[in-house]
Formats: sequence, C-alpha cells, structure tokens
Amino acid sequence: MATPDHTPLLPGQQQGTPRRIINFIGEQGFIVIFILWALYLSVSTNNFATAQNVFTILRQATIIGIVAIGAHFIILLGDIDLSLASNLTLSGVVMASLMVNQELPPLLAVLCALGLGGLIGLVNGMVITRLKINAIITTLGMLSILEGIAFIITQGKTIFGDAIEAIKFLSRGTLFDAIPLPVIVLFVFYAAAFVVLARTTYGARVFAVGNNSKAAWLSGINVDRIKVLTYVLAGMLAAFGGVMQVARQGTATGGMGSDFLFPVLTAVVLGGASLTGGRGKIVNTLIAAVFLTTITNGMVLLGISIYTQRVVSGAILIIALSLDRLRTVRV
Amino acid sequence: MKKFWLYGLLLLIIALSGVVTLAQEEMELGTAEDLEVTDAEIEAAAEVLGEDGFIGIVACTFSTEYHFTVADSARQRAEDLGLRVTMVDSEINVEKQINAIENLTASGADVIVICLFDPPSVLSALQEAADAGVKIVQYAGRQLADIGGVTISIEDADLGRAAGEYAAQLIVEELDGQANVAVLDYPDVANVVVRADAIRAAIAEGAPDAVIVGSYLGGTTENGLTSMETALVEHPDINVVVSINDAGAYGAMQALQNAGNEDAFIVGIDAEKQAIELIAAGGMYKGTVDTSPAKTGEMTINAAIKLLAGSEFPQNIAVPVTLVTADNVADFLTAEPTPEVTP
Amino acid sequence: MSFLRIEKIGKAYPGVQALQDVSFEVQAGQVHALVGENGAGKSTLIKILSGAEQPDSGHIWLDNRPYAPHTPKDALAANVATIYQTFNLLPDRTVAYNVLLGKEARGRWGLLDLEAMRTQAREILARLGASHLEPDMPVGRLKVSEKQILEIARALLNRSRLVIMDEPTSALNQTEVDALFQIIARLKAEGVTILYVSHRLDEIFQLADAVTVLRDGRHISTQPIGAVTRDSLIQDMIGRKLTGVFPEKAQPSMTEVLRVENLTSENLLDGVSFSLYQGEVLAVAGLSGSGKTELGKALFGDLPLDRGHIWFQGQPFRPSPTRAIRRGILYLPEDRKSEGVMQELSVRRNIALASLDRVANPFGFLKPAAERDLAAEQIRVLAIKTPHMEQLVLNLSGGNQQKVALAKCLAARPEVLILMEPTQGIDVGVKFEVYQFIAQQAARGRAVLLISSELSEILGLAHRILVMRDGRVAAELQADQADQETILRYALGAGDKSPVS
Repeated sequence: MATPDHTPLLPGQQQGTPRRIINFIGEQGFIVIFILWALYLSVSTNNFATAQNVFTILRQATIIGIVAIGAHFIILLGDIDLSLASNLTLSGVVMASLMVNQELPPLLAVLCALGLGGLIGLVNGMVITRLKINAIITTLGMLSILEGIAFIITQGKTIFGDAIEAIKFLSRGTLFDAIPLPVIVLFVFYAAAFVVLARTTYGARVFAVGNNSKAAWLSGINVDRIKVLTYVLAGMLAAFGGVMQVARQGTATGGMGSDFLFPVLTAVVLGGASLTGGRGKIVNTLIAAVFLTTITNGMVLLGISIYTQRVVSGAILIIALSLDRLRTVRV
Repeated sequence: MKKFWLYGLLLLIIALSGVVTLAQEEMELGTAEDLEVTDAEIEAAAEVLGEDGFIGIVACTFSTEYHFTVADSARQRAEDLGLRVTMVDSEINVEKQINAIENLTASGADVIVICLFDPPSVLSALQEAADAGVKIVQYAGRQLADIGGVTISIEDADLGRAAGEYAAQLIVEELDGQANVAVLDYPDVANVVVRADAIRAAIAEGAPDAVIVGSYLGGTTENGLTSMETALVEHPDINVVVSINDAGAYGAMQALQNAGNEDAFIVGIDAEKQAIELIAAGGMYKGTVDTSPAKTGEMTINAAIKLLAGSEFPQNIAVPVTLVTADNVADFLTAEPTPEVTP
Repeated sequence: MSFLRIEKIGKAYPGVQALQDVSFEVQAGQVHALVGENGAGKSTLIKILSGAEQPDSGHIWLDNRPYAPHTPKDALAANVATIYQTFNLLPDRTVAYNVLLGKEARGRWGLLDLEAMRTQAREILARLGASHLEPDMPVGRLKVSEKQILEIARALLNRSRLVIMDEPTSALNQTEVDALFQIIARLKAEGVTILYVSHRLDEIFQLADAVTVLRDGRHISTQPIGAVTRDSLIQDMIGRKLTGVFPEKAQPSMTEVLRVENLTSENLLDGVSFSLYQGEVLAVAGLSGSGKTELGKALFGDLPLDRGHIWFQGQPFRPSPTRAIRRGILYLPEDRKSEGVMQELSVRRNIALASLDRVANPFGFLKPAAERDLAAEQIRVLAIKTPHMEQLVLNLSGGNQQKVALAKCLAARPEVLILMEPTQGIDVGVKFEVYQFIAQQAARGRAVLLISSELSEILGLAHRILVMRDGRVAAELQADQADQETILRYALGAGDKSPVS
C-alpha cells in the first residue's frame, strides 16, 4: 500500500523530556514517596536501615500482602471483595478452635481453614454471578455474616492453647537462620501470582474480563467461571492470611482481621490498580503493602506520638496517591 | 490568623478538661455492698416491668472478653432472677449505639444498662431516653452523673494505678530500680487514656529511676505485636511492658519472645483467662488487674432492680479492683471461671 | 461567488502535521462534500471552522470577511453551526426547550414563556418537515435521527448561513437518511451553505454540488460533482487506482454447514429459517429493526431464543459464545469499540484472545512464542498497521481496530464467520481490504454470514441475499438476479407478491 499510515496519536503519547519525567513519577508516584520516606528514615533514625528492621517490616507486611493478592485479582476483574478481612478472621478462628478444642492435627486444621476460605469465596462468586447481585453489596453482607459467626465461635474470648505452637514456625521460622519464613512465603506467593497473571490463560482471561466483560464473553471466555474461580482463589488466600495471623500472634480472636480490610484495599489501589478493572501490576501491590507497613514502622522509630501517627500516615498516603493522579492529568 | 484559631482551640480543650477533672474530683463513690438486693426489691422490680417491660443491655462490643463478659453476666443475672432482658452490641460504633438507645426506648425498655465508649456523642440520645422515663445504668465511666443516671464503674485510674504500682514494685525489687519501660496505649477510647496516664504516673512515682522509653499502640494482639516488634528495633533493651489491656500485652510478649528478651516483665489489665494461665505458668507475664467483669455485670442488674423498686442508694458506685499476681493467681484459676453462654 | 474561502491553512499537533497548505472555496448555497480517509484532516478542519481549534497558519474568509473564530461561540455569532456525531442536547428537557436553548422566549417578569416556545419550536420543526416531533416530548426518548433534526432546527434558528455536518448519516437507517436529505434540500432552498462530511460516496453523489478531497492533511482536489466518478474519488482519497471495488466471487460448494429452522425470539425474530453452505457468502439485508442484527446475535448466543433449531455440520447446536468458538463459529460484533476489541490490551493479546487454549500448554501456561507467532501471522495476513504487536489497540485507527477484531476471528480457525456490519465507520482503503478478506475466506471454503446495511457491499460480495422485515425472512434472492431496488422493495414490504425467488 502506498498510503502512509496515519494512526492518530493520542495526547501524551508524544512526549518531551519534562512530560516523560512527569509520566515516570506519575506511574511510579507512590514508589518515589516510598523512596523519599525510606531515605529520610535512614538518615534520621539509627535503626531503620538495618537487616533486623527490614525483616521486621517485611514480616509485618506478609499478611496484608498475601490477602492483597486476592484483592488485586478481584479488582482486576472490576469487582471488589470487602469480605476478605473477615474471611481471614473466621478461617483463623475456625482453625485455632479446631486445633485447640477439637485437637485436630495442625495440617488438617490448616487445610480446613483453606477449604473454608475457598468455600466463602465460592459463595461470594456464585451469588455475584448467578443472582447478579452487585459485588459490593454481596461481600459487605458476607463481611457481616462472617464476623458474626466468628463472634459466635469465640464468644468474645481469645482462643489460645499449646496446640497452636505447632504452626508458629510459619511466623517465627527462618531459612539459613537469617531470612524469616514469612518473608519467603510472601515473595514466593507474589512470584506465583505474577506468573499466574502474566503467563497463564487464566491470568489472560482475568485481564480480559476486567477490561471489557462483554467483549471477553463474545471472545468465548466463560466470564462467570473466571469470576467464581477468582473469588475462590482470593478466599483461600485470605484464609491463608488467617493461618499466618494465628501463627503470628499465637491466638485467635473474633476481631483479629478487622484491621486488615482498609490496608489491603489501600495497598491494591496505591499500587495503581484501576478500580474499574483490567489494569494493575501485582508487583506494585507488593511494594505498596510494604510501603504501608513502613509508614507505621517509621513513625514508631521516629518516636512520633501515637496521637499524631494517624495524621501523618494519612498525609503520606494522600501525597502518594495525588502524585499517582498526575498521570491522568493531561498537560 | 491560623495560629489564632489554634490557640483558641487549645484554650477550649484546656478549659474543657478542667471542667471534667473538677466533676470527677467531687464524686462520692459507693461500694458493692450498697447494691445488695432483697427478695422484696426483686419482686417489686418484676411487678414494675409487668407484661411488656424489660431491661435493655447495650454493650460496647462483643469482641473483647471483658466487654462480652460484663454484658453476658448482666444478662445471666437478670434471667436467673426471672427478669426479661434484651442485649445489643454497639460494635464500638456511635451510630449503632444511638440507634440501639432509640430502639430500646421505643420498644418500651424500663431500664437501659449501657457501656459508653464515646459519651459526649451519645449523651443527648440518653437524655431523651431519660426524659421518656427510662432509667439508666452506666458501666465503664461516670458521665451519667449529670443526667441522673446510676454509674457502676471500675475507675480506670484505679486500674492503671494498680498495674503501674505493681510494675514499679517489680522494677524496684527485681531490677534494682533500673528498667526500660514501654507502655501500650489505645488512644481511640477516652477512658483508656486515663489508664495509661495512671500507669505512667505510678511508675514515675514508684520507680523514679526507670526510663519510660515510649508509649505505643496496643489494644489488640496484632497491634501490640507490631508495635513492640518495631519498638524493639529502636530500643532493644526494653525489659518491662505495661499494657492498658491483656490483649495488647499478649502481642508484646510474642514480640519480646521472638527478640529473645525472655527476661522481660509484662503487666496487663483485664485478668483475661489467658493472662491468668500465663501468670500461673510463671513466665514473663507477671501480673494483671482484675476488672471483675462478671461482678460488674451483676452489679448493673442489682442497680436496675433497685431503681425499679424505688430504693435509695448511692448514685455512683465503684467496682472493686484486684491485682492478680503469682501469689494469688490460684484463686482466680478456680474461683471465677468465665461464665459460659447458654443460648 | 465563493462564500467560504480557505487559504493555506496549516495545523500541527505534536508529531502530526494534521493540515498543510489546505486551500479551497465553497460556493454560496451549495452542498459541498468533504471526503477523505480517517486521518486525512477532515476533523481538524471542522474543528477550526467551528472555533474549537485555531490554525497555525493561513486565513479563512467567510462572505468576503476574515473569519477566525476563537471559540465555538464566535463561530455561532458568525452564523456558522456545526452538527457533530454526538449531540449537545439535554436529554431530560423537552424538544422545545432544547431547540430554543439560549434563545428561550421570555414573558412577563422574565419567566419562560412556554406557550411561545412551543409555537416557535413547532414552526421551525414544520419548516424541516418534522411536524411529528411534539414540543413537549422529552429529548431522551427521541431516536438518533430525531435528535439530529433538533440540532439542525437549532442551527436554523440561529440563522446559520453555513452548516457543517460531520458524518450525519452514520447512525441512521435508510428511511431516516432519506428524511435527512429532504431536510438538507430545504436548507439549501433557504440559501444555507452546507459543508457535508461523509464516508458514504453514494450519499455524496446524491446530495453534493461539489466535492473536496483531503489526503494526509493536504488538499487533493475540489471539483463539481459532475466532473468526478466514484472511482476517481476513491482514487483521490487513497492515492492509487482501484481495479473494481469488489473481488471476484468464487463458486460455493453444496455442503451445508449451518442450518437454521424456525428461529424465534420474543418479537424480534419470528420463525427464521435458512441454510448456509461452505464457501458461500450469505448476506442479510434489512432496515434497522428488521431483525437482521438480532439474527446474527441469536446465532452466537447473544440473544435468548424462545424457539427454533440450529444444526452445525449436521449436529444440533445450542448457541453460546464459548460453544460457538469451540466449534468454529466466529462472530464480529457490530460495536467494534465496546465489543469487538479490548481497547486497553495489546494487539497481540487481542488477536489471541479467542484462541488462548491453542497457545498454552495443557496446564494452562501460555507459550509466549506461540502467541507471538499467532499474532504475527495475522498481522501479516491482514496487513494490520501497528508499530509492534505490543501496541495497545486504543492507539490504532478505527480501520485497524476492525482488522484486529477480524484477526481474532481468523486466528480461531473459523468454519463459519458471522460478520456484523464489517465495514461500518472505516475508511475506503480498509473497506476494500475487508472486501478482499471476505471473498478470500469464502474462496477457502469458509461460510460467511454477512449482516450489512450497505446494499452495494451486499450485492458486491454475496452469493445469496436474505432480506428481512419484521423479524421474518421477507425474501431470499440470488445475488446475480438482485439489485438495490429489489432488495429495498422487499425490505420496505412493497413487493410481497413473490416472497421467494
């Protein structure tokens, strides 16, 4: 063909150097703030940049990180799951109760927890796809149900006992006497999630459904099956988060997951995943989860009063998010 | 201009806290004996309740053992005496608590037994209930004195002082007065702040050479764990932790064990079952303060009966505080099993 | 006398010279067509004329006075109205309110004089031959064509002397197009000059007095309509000669691939039956609302069926996209942007989307090399213009997006292709390639169900034609015995005497 190609160029595609820098900061906005925050802490505290502290941060980020994988997958679909944190609670409580009260072998109890988490995800997925009920409503209802059941089981009491010792290695074990086991679990899970998203037909379909579910359906993708599968997967990850949490604190309580709902969703959104679906990098979610933990860690190291901590952490989050928004602002 | 507002705000806060302090200092407190009820009073109360009346219990939350036990033993006590009760969970949510008060009033409750976690936000709703003739019994706090309600409360200052004094005693006796102390706080609940202040004051007084290295977020096991892990990075030599509750202290204990500070002392508040077992086991967990939740629950129902029967008794009543240590832990292991819920 | 004179207009966007030295004249009271492929510079020129953009260089004279609008308001003040493809109407307000927007009649106390507004609106609509539009109807319930009439009414009310129409017929059916042409004739009779932008050459020959061709931002030609032919226009637009728009038709085989019996869906389809043979292009014609779109959707499972049977290669077939694709029935949706392609995915992934299992191992792990090969082959076969296969589809032109959608179907090894309006809204060059593609697929033994509103392409490509009306097959015609008139007669219901030839 003799005709030169005239693909229309979109604004922002043609870029000079300043535009490129803005784009970089825009796309990696929170990472830039993360780096600045880490640099500041390295200079102004003695103990931030030590191996011990770095491992402390990573260990603390493990549970948020693992649950955020599931949240990330679901947000990629354009849905949202508010029940993940309470799924964590119930699965953890059930596991601890099976170990302590029913004296089930630890491995069996862990498998029961994972099964329960998956089952909760299955119910979410079926209600959302078959009954066509909005994901926010469904999972909000599920949140309430799960917390209720957890309180019925615990009756407001802490579940504890020597039986839980058997799984504590998940939290306290180390590899080569140096690297904490949870940190390894965290990175292995993220590596697996990355491979699943980038290199499997399932991952490709998740992106397609999130991008445009009608077009995905017309391309022969069983949209409902992908959704249900993803809710099951996210439920099992949340349950595994519950297992890790019980291993970490050595006890289970009816409220142990409620503090995770917000950070988990924040990690995914801060990582740049689009709430409308189809766009998001799993690595950024991991970095965001670590960043969130580092904010709290840094404030303790700086000796900021606990009354002021919330203000500071809120401010840091807003700055990081607004830098991200620069990417959508057309100059 | 901005600074002007800031100063104004500060002045206002100082003024307000002065008012609160004044109100608290003038209070005369009754004791548990003042709430002994007679059979006649119980009968009179049952008569007042009649066919449709009942006692409403509004708990702060069911998610901690303390709060659940208070509310549940109140319910138990009422049911044992043949009085109708309805129990509601506020889930530490002001909106839910206000709704609960309104709903109970509308459905004909004669007495509301309530746990206030954010008194100023709920007072007007309670005032309306009181105006509608509902009698009010508050536990955990003294804010109802002004609107004529009865308050049955542990004094948070007593709790904090007991924990702080015991920690100071341990520091002086076992550590020659030298220690690095971390306090676990939970500033979301105003009453708890009073506890933390009392803890710090008692340590400063009883063990003046000890250093309080910082106050950290506690309240839940996860918070206590995370805060203490991080605090230990900055202050690896922390060897005493005093926590405003047991749940937070468990987390701190985990963190200290993980860090190898197995010689540290931990003192909590609430006398939860796990804390008592830990004290009995003789490890790092040295003491906890019994907030007598079951006793508190019973006392609230006794007060309700007296109100219904029209008896005279002091308006403000203190719940006894007991320190639990290795010396007396045996009594608590057997004497006061946490009541089981019978649905 | 020239009414609008454009002189050496240039406009550059970062990286693109959208217009370069464009000069031509538009005579007063004429319908002047502006044609060119996508990216030729038509839209930029319209934006400049309507005040939405300013040129970098050059001058414009309107009625011998310099004309340089800085905002759309300036353009309106100079009595230049632009009617865009998307409308600037308030859907919740009434017809009268929308027509008189900004010129509302005021009564006593400055209140709206509703009665006066109704009268004015009625008058102006009558002038446009659209008396059936009641002033009190809410605009949200109107059809696209009716909304367009409101826009034109608004232009009339503003005493516009130049009306610019940007692809006004792209969303209209044949009757609506005819109505629009009558309105344009009335405008012309009132002395209004019209700049008419369209892809559809048929319309231009029917309507225009003169035609200007733009290509790659340059002015190619301006000629009276009598001096051009279809082929010469296309040649100007794409810069090369066309040897016949439609390729040769190959002979279809006698093997039946798809048999449809008594397909019925609510009041959309009413007992549709037909057969489709290997190597055949079977076109479905009909006005909008005739059921031709619904037929395509129903065969692919995008429309629930109440009754009817489908056999594919002799086996019963219950439609759903997943089952259809598995058995080799592929579907090109009508709405390319929202159903045909995934805007935010790469060209590679879009092409492979319906064939993911074929580029993965049995455990569901993708083989990147296989996916790339699959995409590369389709990009080559369909000559998709993209810098690389990782380009996001949203960065491609409309025609190339359509090719990506076709490539997705082709990559999935189709036996039957259901093509819904495959050339809608794409420029002439790509259109020609799509025609070649359809003919090639048929020649290779694939069966094509071509659902189209363009009679010329139906006649040029199909072996057989189903004409639909009211959800039924009104006629089945052999293409070599059909012409546009016959098809239209059946589509309109005027030739009911012999329903099947």
